[in-house]
Amino acid sequence: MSTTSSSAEDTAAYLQKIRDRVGQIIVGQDVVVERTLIALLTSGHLLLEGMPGLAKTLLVNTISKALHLDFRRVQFTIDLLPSDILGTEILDEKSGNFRTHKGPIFTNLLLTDEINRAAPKVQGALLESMQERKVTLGSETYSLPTPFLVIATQNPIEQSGTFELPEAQLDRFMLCHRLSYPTAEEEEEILRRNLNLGVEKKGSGAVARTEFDLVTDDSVGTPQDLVDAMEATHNIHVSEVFLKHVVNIVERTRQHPDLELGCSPRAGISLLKASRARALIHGRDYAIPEDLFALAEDVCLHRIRLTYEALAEGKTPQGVLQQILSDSIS
Amino acid sequence: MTRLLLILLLISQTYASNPTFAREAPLGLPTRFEYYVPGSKIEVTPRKNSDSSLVIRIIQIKPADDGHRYDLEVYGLDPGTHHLTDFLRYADTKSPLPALPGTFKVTTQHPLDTLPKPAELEAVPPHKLGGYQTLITLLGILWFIILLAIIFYRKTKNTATLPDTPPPTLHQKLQDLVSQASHGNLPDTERAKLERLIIGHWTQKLPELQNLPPARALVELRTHPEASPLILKLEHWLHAPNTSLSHQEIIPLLSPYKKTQQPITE
Repeated sequence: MSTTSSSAEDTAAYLQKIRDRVGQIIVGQDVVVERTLIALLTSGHLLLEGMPGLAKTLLVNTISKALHLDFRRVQFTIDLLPSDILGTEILDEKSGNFRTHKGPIFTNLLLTDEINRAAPKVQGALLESMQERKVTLGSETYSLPTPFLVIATQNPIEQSGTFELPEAQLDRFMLCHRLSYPTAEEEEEILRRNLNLGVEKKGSGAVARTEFDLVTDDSVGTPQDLVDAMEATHNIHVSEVFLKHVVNIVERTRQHPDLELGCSPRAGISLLKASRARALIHGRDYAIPEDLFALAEDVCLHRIRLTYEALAEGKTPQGVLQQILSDSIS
Repeated sequence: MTRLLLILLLISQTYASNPTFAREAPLGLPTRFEYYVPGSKIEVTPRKNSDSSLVIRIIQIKPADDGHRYDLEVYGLDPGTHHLTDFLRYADTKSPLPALPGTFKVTTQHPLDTLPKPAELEAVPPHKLGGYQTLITLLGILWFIILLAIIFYRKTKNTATLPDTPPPTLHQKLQDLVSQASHGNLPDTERAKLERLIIGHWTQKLPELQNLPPARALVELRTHPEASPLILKLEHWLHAPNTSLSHQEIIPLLSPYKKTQQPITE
């Protein structure tokens, strides 16, 4: 199914170029790239759950360079303070006045590694800024740059010394994608590419090159292209029938006996926004059920909570959500 | 003459030390005084009940000429005048004392008939002891009866809520919606249901899609040679803006679902 407007086609081509650029550096992870673009186009935020070493930093770095956006990375630790993220006011000894030092949050793409390792007050400060897109330092309030996207990661296995994000804060993330390991073919390709990286000579010494050295600074398109893409996302048509599908799924999560906590209205909004962006990425100017079903897990799964009975019966949130989706088409 | 006066003085002193005069004390309060009794030692007659009008304690015994002087402590329990000798006896013979002079008067501030009287004690029967086994048995029977009542009530309720007719199958629901669509009066909610049921119908019909998650199955359906023509046209009809597909073009595509009589296994 093709789009009906040339502007949508142009935008789809622009987005495909970004995906191609990422594909030159990263093997596989097409879905993650798509989800990152969806979050970027809809001004949402993305939470990635997965093991270390799945090229999350490289991915975000590549996308930021391809889009000519500023990129920062913060490793969350237990001793991190809110001021380490947001910034603070510093006394300038020469002038005797306070000088504002803006933190790493003042960027376009912020990668917060292992968000669940920081104390709840740091998580709260970050998530509040994500929601309001403003930061107050001292008596001054600063707007965050546009676009502003937080990509947070957390390790689903290691729970020792972590502070699990509560449901209310998880709800702030538009999408939560579970990263999986690459397939055998992709793994082979990763190794093959790594074999050819070579060594970079620096002065009298040399250092082994990494995938990060492959990331070039030349961007795909212009910042205006990104703004156009965001506008095009907003213009994607959503039919009344599609709205009924969204409401149907959200309602089913709230009524399911195995779920203690169903989807919030914000989940419905996120489904709608994300479906629009996905439709644009796939070259359509209208959203279809495929967009909805493809995104349902990433949008809904981190927002639902099983009952104790369901947990005792060995059920999983994934299983219950798949059952809800299956029931909706039967 | 002098000798006579001395004898008279001694006699008068002897009688002065005896309780020839009346002693008195308020009701219930102790009083102490000295009392002379000629002869051998005396003791207080033991009380055999609680009706005794006086309670007497001999605190000290001092020998006298032909008898003894006793320091007595006396509590009066009944108002009125009482003879002390009524409450004393000889210690050696246990015989009562002869009537000696000396009375003890128990006085009250209030007239006798207005004195408060102690409340009559009532015999309270003790609580029932034992019988725990019977009690536990009765409670057990009661619990069992309630359990049976709950089970029976639930069973009857479930039986009562069971519908007489089985719920419509996916195929029946689909037929009904297609029939409505052919008449052109299908609201958006029903259109959404129709689309989901057609997706569900094909997911169940194609064995390779049955075990796939809905998201993956839908991707496969959109490229499936048999299912994709309908799925794509339906998508376009229901979701595209300014769709070029008319209602009349869609109805023939849906007609097979209306005519098919074979039920779909669910």
